[in-house]
Amino acid sequence: MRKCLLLILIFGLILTNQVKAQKQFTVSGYVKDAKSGEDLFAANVYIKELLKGTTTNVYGFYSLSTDPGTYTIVYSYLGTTEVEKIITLDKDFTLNIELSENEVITAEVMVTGRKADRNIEDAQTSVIELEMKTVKELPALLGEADIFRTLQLKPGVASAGEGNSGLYVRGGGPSQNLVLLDNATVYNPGHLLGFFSVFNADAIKSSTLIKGGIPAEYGGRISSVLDMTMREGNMKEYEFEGGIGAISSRITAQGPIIKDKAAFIVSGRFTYLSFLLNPILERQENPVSIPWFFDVNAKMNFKMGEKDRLFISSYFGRDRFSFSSGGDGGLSFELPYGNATTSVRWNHQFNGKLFMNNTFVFNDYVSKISAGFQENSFELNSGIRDFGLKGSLEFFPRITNKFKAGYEYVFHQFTPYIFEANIQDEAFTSEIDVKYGHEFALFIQDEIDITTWLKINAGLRGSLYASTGPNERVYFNGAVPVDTVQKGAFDSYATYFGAEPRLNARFKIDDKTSVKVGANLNYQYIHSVSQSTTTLPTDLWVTSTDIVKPEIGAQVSLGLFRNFKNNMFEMSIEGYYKKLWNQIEYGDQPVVSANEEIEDQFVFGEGQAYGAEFYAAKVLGKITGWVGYTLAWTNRSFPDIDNGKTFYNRYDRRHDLSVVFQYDINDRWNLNATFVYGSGQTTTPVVNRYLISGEIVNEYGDRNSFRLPAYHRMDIGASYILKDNGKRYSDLNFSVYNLYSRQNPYFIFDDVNFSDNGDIAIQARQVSLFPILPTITWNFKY
Amino acid sequence: MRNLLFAISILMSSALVFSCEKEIILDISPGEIDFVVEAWIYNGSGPLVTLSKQFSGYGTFNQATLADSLTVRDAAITVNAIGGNVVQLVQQSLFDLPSDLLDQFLDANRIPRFFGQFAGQLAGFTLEQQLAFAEDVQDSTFIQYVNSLNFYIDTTNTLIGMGGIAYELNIEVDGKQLNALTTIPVKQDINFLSYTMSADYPNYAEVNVNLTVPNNFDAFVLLSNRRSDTTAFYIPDYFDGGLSDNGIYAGSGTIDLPLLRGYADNENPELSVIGLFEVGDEITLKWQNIDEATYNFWFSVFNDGGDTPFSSATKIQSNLNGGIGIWAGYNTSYTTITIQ
Repeated sequence: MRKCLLLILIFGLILTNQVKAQKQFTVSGYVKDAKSGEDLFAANVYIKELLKGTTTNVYGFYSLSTDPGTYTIVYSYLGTTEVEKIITLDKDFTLNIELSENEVITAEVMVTGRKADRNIEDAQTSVIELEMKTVKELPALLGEADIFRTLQLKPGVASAGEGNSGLYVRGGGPSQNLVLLDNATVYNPGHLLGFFSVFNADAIKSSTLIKGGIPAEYGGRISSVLDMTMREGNMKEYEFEGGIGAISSRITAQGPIIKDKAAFIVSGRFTYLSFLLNPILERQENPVSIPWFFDVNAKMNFKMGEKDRLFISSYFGRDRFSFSSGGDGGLSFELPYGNATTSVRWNHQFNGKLFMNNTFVFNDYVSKISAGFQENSFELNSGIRDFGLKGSLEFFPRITNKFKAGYEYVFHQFTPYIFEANIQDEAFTSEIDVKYGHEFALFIQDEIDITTWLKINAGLRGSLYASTGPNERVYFNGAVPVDTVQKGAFDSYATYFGAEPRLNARFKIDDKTSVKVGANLNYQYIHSVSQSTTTLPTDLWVTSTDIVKPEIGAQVSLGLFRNFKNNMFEMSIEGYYKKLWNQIEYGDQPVVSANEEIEDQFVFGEGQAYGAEFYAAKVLGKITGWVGYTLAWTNRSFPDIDNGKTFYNRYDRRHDLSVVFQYDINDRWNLNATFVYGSGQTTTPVVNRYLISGEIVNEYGDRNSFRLPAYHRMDIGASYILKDNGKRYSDLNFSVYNLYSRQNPYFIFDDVNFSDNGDIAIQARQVSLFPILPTITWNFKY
Repeated sequence: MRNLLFAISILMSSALVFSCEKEIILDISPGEIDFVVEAWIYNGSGPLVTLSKQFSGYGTFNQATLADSLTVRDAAITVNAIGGNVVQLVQQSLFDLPSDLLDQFLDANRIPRFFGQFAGQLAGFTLEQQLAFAEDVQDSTFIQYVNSLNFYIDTTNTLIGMGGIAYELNIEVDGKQLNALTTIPVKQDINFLSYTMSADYPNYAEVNVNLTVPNNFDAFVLLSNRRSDTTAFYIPDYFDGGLSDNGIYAGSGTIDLPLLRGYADNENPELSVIGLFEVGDEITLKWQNIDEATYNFWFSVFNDGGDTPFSSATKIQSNLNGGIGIWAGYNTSYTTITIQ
């Protein structure tokens, strides 16, 4: 606590000194896209004479305060022509800028069009900013451009292998990533049981993954933050774009509601393979059914005068798996699940130095398993619903100082596995109640250039969590209920407080080289644990309680960043160490009773992750791409698993290599290729067997003590622009997934065969999912 | 949970449209070989114990010689009725078993009696003759496997299982001590069986178990059923391995629960009528009250799906100290109904 107070004091002193230094004036405003009127996030704004500047926030707002004088301000953004404005700064004033797209992108333009040395200048370490252009161009599974799969190509981000779009960031699990879409949490970011992510690249404006040194404004997860913002809609004219792919089609419409004052965007995706093939597949002797999904992103934004903006954005997506044996009253299963989010954001600019944002957030994730048989039906419902309010004040006292403070409150409502059955017209419900949690946080953070070579971004987050009623909790001894506790809406089962210091520091060696340090301590009060080796829609989110303690993660990282050839090449080496407390796993035994709380099946332990990430990229020119390599270890230790023996957890990847190549051949053709290699996934092997009542029973070895064969794959792709006359655009995207048809392990099962001579042959068989898969996608825009 | 994973597995089979599989050699070191106990005591019968060893995880094994190589002989085994007497068990062959223990064993191993459960013996057929008939319907090498097993029983008939009594099993073999404690629960039987004809399939009926479930009811049950026409042995139902934690119905009063038809390994059930019985079936329900440890053991055996994307490796919950397996107490009752 003393350390917290000391930090607050330091912030206060720094601010006071900055404000008191001398009379300064402020130029502030918004940077927008000239064609669409959309805000440009992370546009570069700097004063040429001072060689100092800033970047726009997610709402396109910037603020520069400095001494009086005449200055040249340079505005630039990726793929746009930079704009220079000469100003005489003798009073505070507003300067809104629109940047136009480059007609011809050359290496030289891009040098200035991008904040080329941002990776050297910024204090934030361990960050990946993904460009949607890259996401759309790279070859993709079944032609589905996927943000998560592109992120998996970056160092420090591992995939779970085939058929899982979950992100394993620096040894953390998917549920330890905070995934935000316009400030709303997305609890299950996977379509089709994780084969694709739920984010439609057409609807996303920016995507930033923070792997370490997580700023104080983010909280609630211990591994990483993936902050995505949706596009806002064209303020000037109507636009339609879309594509027709192998398994899905998508369409986006956007345009002004009131020109230059209000705009909308609606973007949708849906799959259709199921509608074509299911009638055939379901008539087979062993019927199968192809699942389907759809998602819709919608957003409106309104300018309410010069100083106020209102954004309303929503996401709604659903997956549905269904199976029916056919006939009336036969066996049937359904698994519908999906996310819904809504956020309403209000920006207010008090003056050139003070910017406020408030957001109301609603998230809802639901999952249901239902089964029918004759007159009987069974349902297992689960999910999580949040209502939240977040707010922040950004204060820009000097060109070298950005201060931010804010609050966050979320009311969580957890639906555990609630069993409902109708048997012979009688209804049964399991006796597990809905759970409630209140999560509250305050934060302050300051990004400041202490000297020309030292820049820090330091912050402190204080978080508070209470798990409350109104509900009833049955305590079990084994499967036998022994006690029942009732709590009211304001009674808590447990209350936790977390002081979470955060720090990023950049030491600039020269214009091309910097060293960065990142450190963060994070608390996670809500948890999801998977019983299988992948993330499933049925994985449950649970609250911290008197039994389930908050997960805590502490990480330190150190990185060397260097650019070459006028920022054409970027290189970095980062090392990290992460310590994790109160980690949760299922024990070695299955769930026993439908009435038992799921947390009774959990066991608790500790973990650690450490490794080194190597990254080299060519970011400019006709040929671009990167090579990323991660050498990493992550393990867990649970007293109730294998007698406390440390084991590598399922996110452990010793070696992870990604190579990405992109070549803009000419105005029409673009070629690209990716290669990935990853150490095999860990699994729990069968070491012995025995017979019980004549049946073979498995005896397993230590958890995750065996590693599957390595995963590697090469994909290639090409884009051909059919038409691009400024008003109408269309292209064809060719993609070949798994070029050399590598049979990568998806999982291993035991095949037991009884031969005629009485021999029992038990062999392991590896299942691989996707062989070589060529696809074509047609994209259009007008 | 297994139902849930089973559902997902079926649904995910659609994703496997693209998939392929191949044999893979796993370089796994075998673990330490433990003694395996399968032992039980029914109400109204003496204890029956089989003792064997584990074998390696992968390879080719001859079924006929497997039991011979795995069976553990010359163990010193006692059963102690807590608060009662202690008996020393004696090693016997299959053909020396008394009829009640023989039936229990054959049911557990799903070995059919060609003439039904008791008719064969009443008609004067020897067990060897019955098993010879059984070879026609069951793999003959499996019968050889059964023949080579060794059993430990109480030949004095002085220890008979009773509901509400705990029993301790002690085994000394090859210098190792194994022990376990089980209880034969107090009987909580069903009221009766009934059936309703299927509205959609005229030759099929749904059988229901009528059960009274008071408050604080926490009975664990292992239930299986057999049909006289095709299966002369008891099979757990299709979905949950015949395991029921009836505590979830506590306080529901008198209820009807569906009894789902069990299927033998070689049966290929029609999905549209899965779980239904047919007209003419004489159905016998074997209802066994079990204690929590026994429930957990069978639950973990049934729910082990391997370490795959849709299931987790389940360590079997044994009540044996010093070994693995189960020492179970069963309070068993039988109820029969015929679909007219």
